[in-house]
Amino acid sequence: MAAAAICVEDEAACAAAECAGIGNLDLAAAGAGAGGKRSVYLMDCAPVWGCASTRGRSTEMEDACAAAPRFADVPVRLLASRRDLDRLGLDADTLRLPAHLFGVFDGHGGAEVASYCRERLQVLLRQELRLLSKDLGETSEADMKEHWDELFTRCFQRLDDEVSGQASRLVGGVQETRPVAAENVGSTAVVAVVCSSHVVVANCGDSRVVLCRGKEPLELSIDHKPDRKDERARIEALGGKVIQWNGYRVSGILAMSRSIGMYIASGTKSWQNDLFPFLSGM
Amino acid sequence: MVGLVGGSTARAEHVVANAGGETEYVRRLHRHAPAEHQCTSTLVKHIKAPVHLVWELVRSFDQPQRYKPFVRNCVVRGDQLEVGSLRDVNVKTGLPATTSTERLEQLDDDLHILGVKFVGGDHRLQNYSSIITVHPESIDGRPGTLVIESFVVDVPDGNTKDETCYFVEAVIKCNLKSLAEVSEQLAVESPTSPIDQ
Repeated sequence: MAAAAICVEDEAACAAAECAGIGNLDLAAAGAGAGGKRSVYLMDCAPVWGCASTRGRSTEMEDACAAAPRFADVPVRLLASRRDLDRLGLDADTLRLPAHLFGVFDGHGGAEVASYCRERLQVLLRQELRLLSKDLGETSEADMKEHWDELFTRCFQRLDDEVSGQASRLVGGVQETRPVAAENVGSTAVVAVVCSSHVVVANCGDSRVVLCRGKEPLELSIDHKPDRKDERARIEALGGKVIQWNGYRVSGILAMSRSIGMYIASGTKSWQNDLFPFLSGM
Repeated sequence: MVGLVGGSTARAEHVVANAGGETEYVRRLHRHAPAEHQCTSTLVKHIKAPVHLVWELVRSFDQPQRYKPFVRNCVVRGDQLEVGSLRDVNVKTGLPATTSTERLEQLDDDLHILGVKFVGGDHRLQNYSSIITVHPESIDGRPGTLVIESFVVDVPDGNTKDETCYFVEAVIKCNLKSLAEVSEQLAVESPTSPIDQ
């Protein structure tokens, strides 16, 4: 399955997710020409998005996708250094860019975890972005990436803890600590946070984000596959084993090396999201 | 816990046989004669639930999904459930197989023995044959169950004996872990457990 989102800019359309069996969705982007030249941080970024999904070879739909236009504001200090902002005459301390969220959650063993991620991840991200605005001091470019890393890690970790029942969650106004689903149910989670100046991508599992700019596709995420050298080393360091059994699989069972949920096959709840900030229009 | 007992491939882990007489059960009830191109292994699981509850789950040839986490559903061919019956098992998504056709080889309600052989499917497990036995034991002074599962299977082209054993053992460990959880939950829910086993 796949989801696609296009943000209309002066220069380019961006943000798409690969669609299994359908190819890349390529929606035409209308360039909105503003009269004067404005900083990329002040441009509006109105998303035009569409979603298409199919069961593929499964007998049931277990995937989910999320599209949340203007789901949160991103402090501009997460996107540019104070020096650059000062040079542009922008207020580094108060300027926030509208951000849009797009996510794909490919469930395995059942749809419960994917459906939960679709609703929950944007809530967690919104909370984290709100909290983050308070402790942004003198932020360098390396610090920006670190902030995004920490932000996504906390969100993914919380999501995984709620799915497994290790953290409580609100269900109908009541604190619930039972797992969202059985141990054999899990999901990928790949998300793109899109604003006028940046696309920020975080990934857990083997779903994928592809940017189509013009005619050239560009991978913005890296799959968590068990035969990736670093993933295999991590798995084996944790006492696991990667076996080729209809593809490379953890213990010969699970075809991705990281997952939200699905503890029964991996034998460990260890995971970590990969963060790939992609700069556009700078 | 799940332990390994014997097996034709050298394994680092060995469970010391306890008072339950695991090695005696294995010797008498879990005989496999692996060929050169096959591998075999035996796993044990101690479950804090009475043997009649565990056996009821294990013997459900027509409903393996009651405790096997990777099974989506199962259809038994024909009307009579007896030795020789075939079942078509559908596997959940994300796993390296979608179907498995399995034959009931052995079902002994007195000795608590279930034998199953894989006769078809897309799982790469050719000539897979397994035996599961359950035995009453005492755990912390309460009725418990010792479960022993052994198997023999061809080593597929492209894999080693170690890899094949590792994969099959991983699946069986998942099954036995789930069997423990389901039966221990049933034991908690049932009123008074009989101790006549």
